[in-house]
Amino acid sequence: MGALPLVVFLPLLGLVATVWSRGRARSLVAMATASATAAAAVALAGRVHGTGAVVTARIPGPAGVEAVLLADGLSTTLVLMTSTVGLAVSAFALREDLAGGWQRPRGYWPTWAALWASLHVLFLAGDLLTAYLMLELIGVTGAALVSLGGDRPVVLAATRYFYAELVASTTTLLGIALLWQRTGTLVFAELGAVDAGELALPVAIVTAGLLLKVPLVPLHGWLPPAHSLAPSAVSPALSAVVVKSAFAVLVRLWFVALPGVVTFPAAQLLGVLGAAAVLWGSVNALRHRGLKLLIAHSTVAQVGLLFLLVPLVAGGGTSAWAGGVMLAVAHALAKAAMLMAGVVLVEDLGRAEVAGLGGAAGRRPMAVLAFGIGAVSLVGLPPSGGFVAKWYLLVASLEAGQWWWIPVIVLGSLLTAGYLMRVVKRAFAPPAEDLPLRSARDARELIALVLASTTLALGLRPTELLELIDVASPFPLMGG
Amino acid sequence: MTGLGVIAGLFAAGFVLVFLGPRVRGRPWGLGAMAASATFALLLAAPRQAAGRWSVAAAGLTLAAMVAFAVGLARRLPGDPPASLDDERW
Repeated sequence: MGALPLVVFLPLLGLVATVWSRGRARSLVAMATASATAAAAVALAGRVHGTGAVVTARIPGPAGVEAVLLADGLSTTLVLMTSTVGLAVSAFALREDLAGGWQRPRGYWPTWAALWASLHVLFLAGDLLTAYLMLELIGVTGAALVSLGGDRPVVLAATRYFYAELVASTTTLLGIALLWQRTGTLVFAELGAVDAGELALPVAIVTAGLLLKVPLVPLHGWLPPAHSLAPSAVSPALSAVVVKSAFAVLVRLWFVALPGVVTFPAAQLLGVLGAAAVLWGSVNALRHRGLKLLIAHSTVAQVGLLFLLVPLVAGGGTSAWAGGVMLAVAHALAKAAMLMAGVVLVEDLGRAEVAGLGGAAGRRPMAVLAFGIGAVSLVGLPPSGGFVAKWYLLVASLEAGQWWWIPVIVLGSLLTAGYLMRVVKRAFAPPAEDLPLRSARDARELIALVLASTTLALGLRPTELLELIDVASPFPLMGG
Repeated sequence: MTGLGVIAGLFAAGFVLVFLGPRVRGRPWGLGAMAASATFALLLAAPRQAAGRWSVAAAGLTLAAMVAFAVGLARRLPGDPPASLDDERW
């Protein structure tokens, strides 16, 4: 079996194996399949990068229904991102299980495996219906993971999240139905054959649904509570990867399947909403005292930044494609690492507010370093993946002659530095109470640090990833 | 045209119920109406072949499962929701 079917099959194997196993065996089996999935993703990326060609696989279904998986530069990069974060999240959860005596709700590991498999199929989907079905599964498994073993506020947050997902799903499906009616196909490669003018309404409806799923300001209300109330081994996956799922479908639909349907006003509108998200999310991150809410509002802002890809690419700033995909990866690695580091800091100090982090640098230097490296990447300082991504977005602004996005990127970076440096500065302040200067090592710190360090590796050597993104890209950075 | 009217009406009614519904517990009805509308639209659009029907069935069943999950979540929430969700769990 090739690497492409394996990246889907292995998490499904993990799902079945964790349903049937118990206690210690469940966590260990989950970790084994997580490691194998990540290895398969690396092998797939190696093959796509090495050959420079798209890899495809067909999954037969009943009555001649066939799902085509398509590993091009975009999808392979996102699968690699998901697997990297997924492996780290699994290791983090395993370490918690080891320390806590396997008390985790029994649904966690199977649900997490189902979410992982759905994300891979979504990124690799060759048609809109498969992508839609995976978005549904991602919504169900994501909300279930948030609600697992939770008290009333947690269930309420999960319910709001899930209601938003359902409204988004039904809206998206309505648009897909209209699209199918007018084109007779939902295969991405075949959609472009139809006159784009007839598809404006269905694409607008699908886009509205996807914007709620991402979510983009002003549809983001459900995100901060769901992410901040999710368990510690869930929120890194939600904030790092799940928020990219609907975005990936949107850019594939707009720029790969139906480039003719993209108009200047529509692209600018998404850019304006993205800019609003950057400002609104950053201001809220500055305002909140809780560390996890700060990080959740930061996700709202960073997702907004991601949407600047749309007007820039549509306006001829083709570097924004590579920049946007690189930004998605760099954000995922940094954000997951920061959330993991945050868990260690908050548990160690017993305080969830930023103000309570005094002395953290002395007690948990590795966790603070991981948070700091993540912050460097989110701000966009060199050498980090975030810097490379923002560089190409700035270059694209000049290429497209759309200088008005430059102040948004710069201001967003300054605001990001403002709210993240609050945390780092506080970590170096003296402790508020008589805490011992050092505490016992925690393997979760190391997981966070390794993950954060990958953003530095991306900054120091971005060439391979940029070459991978370029494979079958509609907007190659290096000349195709 | 009648089909499109039913779809639009059902979708709008569901939308109103979801956003103006009195409580979290009442909103699955709105979601159910929106899901039914979208599935009906898909049913009209899909090709009249086995493959098309399977696709519609997959989408419809997934949506039905989602609505059932929403009802399940709502049942875990008796009474009025709290005023604020500005809380955290680590």
